Amino acid sequence: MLPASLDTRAAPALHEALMGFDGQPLTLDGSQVESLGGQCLQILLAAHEVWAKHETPFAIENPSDALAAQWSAFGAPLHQLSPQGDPQ
Amino acid sequence: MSADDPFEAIKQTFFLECEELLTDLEASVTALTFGDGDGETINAAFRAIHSIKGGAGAFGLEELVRFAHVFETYMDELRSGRKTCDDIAIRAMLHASDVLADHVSYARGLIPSMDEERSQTVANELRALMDDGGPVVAAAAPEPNPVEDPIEAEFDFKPVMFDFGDDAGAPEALPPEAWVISFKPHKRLYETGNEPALLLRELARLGPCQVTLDTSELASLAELAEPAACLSWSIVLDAPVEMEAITEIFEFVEGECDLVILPKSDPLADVTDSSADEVDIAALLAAATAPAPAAPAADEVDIQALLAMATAPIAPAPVAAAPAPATSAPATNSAKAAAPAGNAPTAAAGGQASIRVDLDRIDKLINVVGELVIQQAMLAQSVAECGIAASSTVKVGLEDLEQLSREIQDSVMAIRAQPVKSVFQRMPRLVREVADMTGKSVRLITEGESTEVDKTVVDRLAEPITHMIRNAIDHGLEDVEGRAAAGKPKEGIIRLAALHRSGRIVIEVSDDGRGINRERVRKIAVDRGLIAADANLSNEETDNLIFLPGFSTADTVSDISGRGVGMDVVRRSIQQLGGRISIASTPGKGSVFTMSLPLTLAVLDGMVVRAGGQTLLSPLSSIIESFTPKEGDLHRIGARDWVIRFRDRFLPLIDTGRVLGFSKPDSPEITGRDGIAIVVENEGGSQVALWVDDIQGQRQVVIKSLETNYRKVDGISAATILGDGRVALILDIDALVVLGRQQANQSEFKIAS
Repeated sequence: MLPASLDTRAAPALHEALMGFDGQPLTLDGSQVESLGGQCLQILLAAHEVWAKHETPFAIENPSDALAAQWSAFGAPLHQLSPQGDPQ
Repeated sequence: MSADDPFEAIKQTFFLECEELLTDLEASVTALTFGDGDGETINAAFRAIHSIKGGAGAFGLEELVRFAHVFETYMDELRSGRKTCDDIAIRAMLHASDVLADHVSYARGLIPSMDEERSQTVANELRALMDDGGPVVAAAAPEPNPVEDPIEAEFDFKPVMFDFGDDAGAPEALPPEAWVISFKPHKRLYETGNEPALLLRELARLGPCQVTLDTSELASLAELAEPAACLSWSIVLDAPVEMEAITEIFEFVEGECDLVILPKSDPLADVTDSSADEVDIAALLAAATAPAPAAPAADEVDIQALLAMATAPIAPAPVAAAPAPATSAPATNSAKAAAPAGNAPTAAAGGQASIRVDLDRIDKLINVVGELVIQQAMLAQSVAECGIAASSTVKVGLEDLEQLSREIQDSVMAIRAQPVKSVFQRMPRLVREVADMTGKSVRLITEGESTEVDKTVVDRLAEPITHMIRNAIDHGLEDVEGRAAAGKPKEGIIRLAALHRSGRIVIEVSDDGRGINRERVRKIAVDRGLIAADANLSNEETDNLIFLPGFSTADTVSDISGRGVGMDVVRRSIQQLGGRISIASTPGKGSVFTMSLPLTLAVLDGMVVRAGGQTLLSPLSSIIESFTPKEGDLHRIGARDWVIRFRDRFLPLIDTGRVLGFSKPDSPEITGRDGIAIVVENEGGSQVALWVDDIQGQRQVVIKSLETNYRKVDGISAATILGDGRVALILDIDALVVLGRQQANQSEFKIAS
């Protein structure tokens, strides 16, 4: 479950949490997210890369509207949001 | 000011926010003064100034923007470490924050005129401190033309026009059709609480944007434990806007990101490695590092993005929009706290943990709740009179109702409770000014700023505290030589503390000065005829002489205090709040002034008494004791005055019913009636006894103003409605004592003539 606020302050906690799941298939619930900042975006993208490298599923499911909007406002590729992390 | 004008309403909100920001600024600067500041403190100060500037720009408050800009620029120098934060810098900051507060007050219409000269002097002082005059300082020169056409500015945030480095080559005539912006935040951008998300959103408000994220520099997850900046964006803004509109958005983060803004038609916008004369090196470097904006990814992504932009909650007003980048970090705290479910408005707007409510509405609510409590008491009484069994459902339900209405009352009172911080924060400035005027070195220590008290009390605290602090610095503290001679540190200390004590708020103002010179106080009092030359006064009584009207101990009347309106005014304003003030002074060590005030002016604990056939309420806070006098305790003095023996002393006895005119003139004298004496203490600390027919009990009542509903009545401070629906008058003990004395004098006069 991703917290409501993914701003710069939330970054260290998010990082720590993700590091803890290293190598395990991971599905994050984005339904509660209300804001997403650059730092957390960075971490999520980096995490996605790591998981992709291990060919482990990594996905954010049920993105809240806010998360989806913010994600695309960042110009980040949307497919990373979809379950299974399926490259298009 | 018209309440209907939304713009005006927003502006008022902005001013309220300014108040808070100025408090933050003051707190930061104070922390720096005491040497407990660090980089974050300077950052906090910077953000406060920055937010004020941002909002002011949106409202076209040119002078405010101009000054804030200079101040901000200077703070930025400190923040970046280019200038050191030494004593001179702190002094300059103190001056500048005072002037900034003045500018805000002036813009708000609270002060009639702005001391432009001082503003200029302080601004120049700041500029002088930033002596190396880079481009930033140049931009701060006094002729920036801050806000454009205000109509155009409307809800578009347009702060000061900012000379953004080298834009000599920017096309003057027609803005190009579209822009290509490449933006790479530095680590510092995040550290200062800015957020690319907000900047991107701001951009999106200018026109349709194609945002492309570049993750080529993305670090590995392991490296991201620390804040890093590995993302960059290139944005195609498809709107014919002025270059300035774009630079303004990034103005906040200037120096914290690589930013290149080029017209789309510019060859450089398409490819990286060409050279153009007008673009500076940094821009080139940045452009080179940014890969060619890969032909915007999949179409659907763009459409999604655009849709998202369109639906993204755009901050509705300049106030919200302007300070957002700087305040987003603190705002998220509340967002976390509130954590509402679902997709509530996001990011910048944030979930707010507090709302602003018109005070009138709260007052109305308090009033209605007061009525509710009264109604509930009346209902309880009627039920009791019906003789319904205690176990009946009616009784039980009524008890629950009572509990609930009490809870409502408490909660409503809590809404009005405010920390005294808003008053305390004005004091450092006062201390500085008075210290400068008197040439003394003073340090103010405040404690208990978060102590809460009813808003009406907070509002009316400022004046007495101001007086007391002035007085403490002017009269209490010795000058530098005097302190040295007394073996004290050069810097005098004024302590301002607030605390809750037994249901009241206590405010203490103490100094470590010379204490009260009792001999001199006594001499002055005798000279002015305030006391008899041979009066035998205790130390405490002598100290209290300074509260007498027209008493002033300063040999020379200074600007600061000592106009003969000193402490008696303080005492009166505290009395009007239902409070009392006392002094404890140790010669050579200093004095402590203690004010004790009720937490609210809306409810009162009182004793219900009857006098002259009327139900009256005596404030519990002033009652010392009540007793039934024995025969022989009462003694007549003169024609109509009575005294009563109370613990081997004789106290003046006031026949409450008679003094207030309830008793018929021919009603029997005190001795001819049964009654009870209530010993009360007036604000001067002297005791008198009130004669009443009987005591009916003690209860908390809701105060109803008599003045607004009827008119001022001597000896009565307010009214209330009791459980049986009758109106009871609340006694004003001090006025009653005075009234009793006057009537006694008059009657003596009648007998004499």
